[in-house]
Amino acid sequence: MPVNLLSVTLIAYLFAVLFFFIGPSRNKFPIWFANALLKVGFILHTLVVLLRWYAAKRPPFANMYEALILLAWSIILIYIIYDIIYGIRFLGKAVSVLALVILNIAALLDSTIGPLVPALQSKWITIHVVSYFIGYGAMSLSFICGIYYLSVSRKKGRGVELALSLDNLGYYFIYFAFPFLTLGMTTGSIWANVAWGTYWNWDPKETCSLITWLVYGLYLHLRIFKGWKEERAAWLSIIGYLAVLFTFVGVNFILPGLHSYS
Amino acid sequence: MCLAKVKEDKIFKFIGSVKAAFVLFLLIILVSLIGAIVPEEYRAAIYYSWWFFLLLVLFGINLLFCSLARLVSCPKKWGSNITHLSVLVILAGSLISFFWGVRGPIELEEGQTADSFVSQRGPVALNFRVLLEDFNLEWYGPQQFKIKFYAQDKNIRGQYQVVPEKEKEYRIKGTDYSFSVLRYYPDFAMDEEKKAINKSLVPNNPAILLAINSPKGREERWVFAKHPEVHFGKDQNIKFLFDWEPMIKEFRSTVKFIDTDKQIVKTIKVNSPAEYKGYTFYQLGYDEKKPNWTTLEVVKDPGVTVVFIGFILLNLGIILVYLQKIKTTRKKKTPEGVRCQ
Repeated sequence: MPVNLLSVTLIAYLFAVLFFFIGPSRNKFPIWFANALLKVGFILHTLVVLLRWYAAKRPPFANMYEALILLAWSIILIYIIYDIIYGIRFLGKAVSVLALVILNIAALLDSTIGPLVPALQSKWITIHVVSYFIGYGAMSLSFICGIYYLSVSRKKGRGVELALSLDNLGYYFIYFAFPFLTLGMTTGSIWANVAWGTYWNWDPKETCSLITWLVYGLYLHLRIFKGWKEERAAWLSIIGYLAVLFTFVGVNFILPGLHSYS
Repeated sequence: MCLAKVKEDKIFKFIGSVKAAFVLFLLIILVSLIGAIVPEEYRAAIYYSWWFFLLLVLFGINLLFCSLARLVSCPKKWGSNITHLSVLVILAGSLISFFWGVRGPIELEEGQTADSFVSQRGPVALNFRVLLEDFNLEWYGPQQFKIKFYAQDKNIRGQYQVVPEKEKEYRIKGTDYSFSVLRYYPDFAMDEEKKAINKSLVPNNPAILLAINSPKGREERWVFAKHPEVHFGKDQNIKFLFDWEPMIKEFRSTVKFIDTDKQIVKTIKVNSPAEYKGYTFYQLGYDEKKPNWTTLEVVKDPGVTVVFIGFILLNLGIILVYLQKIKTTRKKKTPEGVRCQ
């Protein structure tokens, strides 16, 4: 059942992508409809996560399949929240494509519901993983802003205004995500101490999460105190996101360690 | 940001400068990254080297200067001040761990006692004894697994996700076959009468019994996770594979702390350590070949509390930064000249 629901979610997102690409030709209907489809998809997506939680009888954050579904979920969540508050539909196209790609990769992976290894059987799992994924969701959006900024910043005319709002928006996403990364990292450290008796072990996953945190910390300090904006900020947000990707995916496949399950 | 009102001589000025902060930041990022990429055996040589230690100490001094300068120039920025000081608390805590924390493994067989352990700085005597009463390994049964099949006559391959408890009948598409799961034995063996028996709860030879229905009739067949080449059964036209990897559910040590005046029994599991007289005992590992042995990690680390207080302050500080930011953006902008973002 959850597998079929995931397909329906994918179809909803696929049509959202299509309507975003049709764009505002004569009226605003395609964009409005695309956004509506994205919200419908998001409700289904939430159901996918909850049903899996119910079926597995544990939080569904235990393998790459589940992690990618959650990542796409948090990206859409942050987008919808920001869209309601600030109106950021010009990001809809990129966001829906990204979510679609991530979910498609998830769909290719093994979806067998596995039980939790002893280290993961902890009440810390939910707060640690959820705060990280909300952080990663917002960082994904800042990454989109960074890329989008670099692609429009050299254009003249309407591009200038768009570039400026992309620059600010990218900053807001990082500003929003940073406390979640902090919470994720510190709860992870506390959890490690409960499980293994060491709050910091210089395990590759831990180290890379620290690097990610430091890079975004650097971004915030440089932006606020040294006036690093626009192009330099865009590049720094892209570097930060590369650190996120390396922490989240890269470490699992390249560097073995305590965090080898996901 | 830093040293706005503090005047010191040049070297102190540099150590406490924003420039130094960024340089140290970048160096720490770089060294951390190198340490994460190099093979595991070289990791300790980097993270526990004197020069990385020095780097962190310099970072701590820089942060101390910056935080104090900021505290003087912008005392009302609670959030940012707490955040920066919290990092100092965390660094101080890890320093305490580094110098005064002791940890080391204890390996015990059921019935054995230990009254000391070897820490990173040499042997540590416990002023009590710890006895391993019982060590228990528990495995998950197959909650969900894959059944792969191959039908020779029609050259049909495929696989099914199977949830055994539902006793569902799985129809094999394109054929007249169907199957259901009847039983699971973690440690399959045959007795003298060639009857299937289960020897133990340890998954040495996990097997499931399938009921296969075909036009030719019904048959029951064992399939083995660790022996995919074995295909018992009359109808050799169809082959099944039991694709499943057994997983540890839990391992726990029941220990007795024996003191001069009392004895206390406690259970130690992963994520559930036991504490006695300031020492915390963690379930570190086990050896599948020695099922009566446990490996515990004994830790006495006064730095942990300090680090965790630092963590709480860090999260609190960052939340305060946000609350103050919202407040100031609603009010007027800060007067020019003073940079207290």
